[in-house]
Amino acid sequence: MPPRKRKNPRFTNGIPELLILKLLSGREMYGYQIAREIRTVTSGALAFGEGCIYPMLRSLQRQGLLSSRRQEVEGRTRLYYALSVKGRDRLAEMTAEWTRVARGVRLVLDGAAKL
Amino acid sequence: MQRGLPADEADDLAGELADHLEDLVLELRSNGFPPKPAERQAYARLGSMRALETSILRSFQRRSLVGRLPLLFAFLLPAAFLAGLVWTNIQLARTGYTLLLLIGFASGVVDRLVEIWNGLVPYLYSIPGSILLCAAFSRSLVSPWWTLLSCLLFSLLNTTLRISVVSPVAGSTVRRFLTAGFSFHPHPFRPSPVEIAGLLAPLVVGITFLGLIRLRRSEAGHSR
Repeated sequence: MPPRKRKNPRFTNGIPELLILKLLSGREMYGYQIAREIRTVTSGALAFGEGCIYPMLRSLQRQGLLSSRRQEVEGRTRLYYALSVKGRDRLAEMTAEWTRVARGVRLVLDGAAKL
Repeated sequence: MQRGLPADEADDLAGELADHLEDLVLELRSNGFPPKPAERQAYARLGSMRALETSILRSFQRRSLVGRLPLLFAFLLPAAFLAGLVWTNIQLARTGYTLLLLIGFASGVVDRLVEIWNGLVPYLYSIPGSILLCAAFSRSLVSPWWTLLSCLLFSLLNTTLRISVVSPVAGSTVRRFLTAGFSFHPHPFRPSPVEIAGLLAPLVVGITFLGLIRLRRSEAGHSR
């Protein structure tokens, strides 16, 4: 059996978390909005099962990075998530880390292109 | 989906996923997809349910001792707890008998008191089960079915391992009288109407509770 192709390489671990924190830094959102926003902003470049957002949201909430509140919208109860102060700190750390890694990768790729 | 997750958490997740699916179908249909393909596409976007379940359970196991040691918490501890409750109940029943027999012996109405006590014992046995049931529903820590099972066990214990009181005979000494009162007599399963009521009462209460809780949850689900 041929090896199954990974949708996203292993080093993209942690990216959904970063994206969720970043998106929620602008405004509070519910799960579907977050998934749609990721899909739209990345033009589908990051493919993952949208359902996986929910365990991640729970995990971030348990770590105190997110808070949530229920709100009735058009007859349905939505669970809105928002970034906490601790979440903002974590976002700043992760952004700095990601920028550093991306810069490193960019330098290698540029260098490889010149070879 | 629950598979050891606290019921409330499993319900919340299932509710969010159902909403997500519904929103996806609506979005796809507004983009011109016919109903069936829209549904198929929505399921595909949501991702593999097995992967999702694994991810949820792993997350639960990482943070919870109950999740990491399911055998201990789903079987061994409840069994030990039930054994402890049975022992406590027997001690309570013995204490009750002692008091009754002392009072009865002094007042000369021991037969009547013993009859009343025997009628009350089924309910005494179902109390711990009912307390467990309420605890399970209020904290959502354990599956309600375990609690219901404990109610059934307590009721069966009462009908099969009941502490039988031997009526005093004329001329008994206090010592012999009290010793006779503590003997255990497993007896064939021929329950009286009172015992049948004792057997069924916790089950009826438990099933009614379960029904009400499910009704409340399903109403909450519809209002989403």
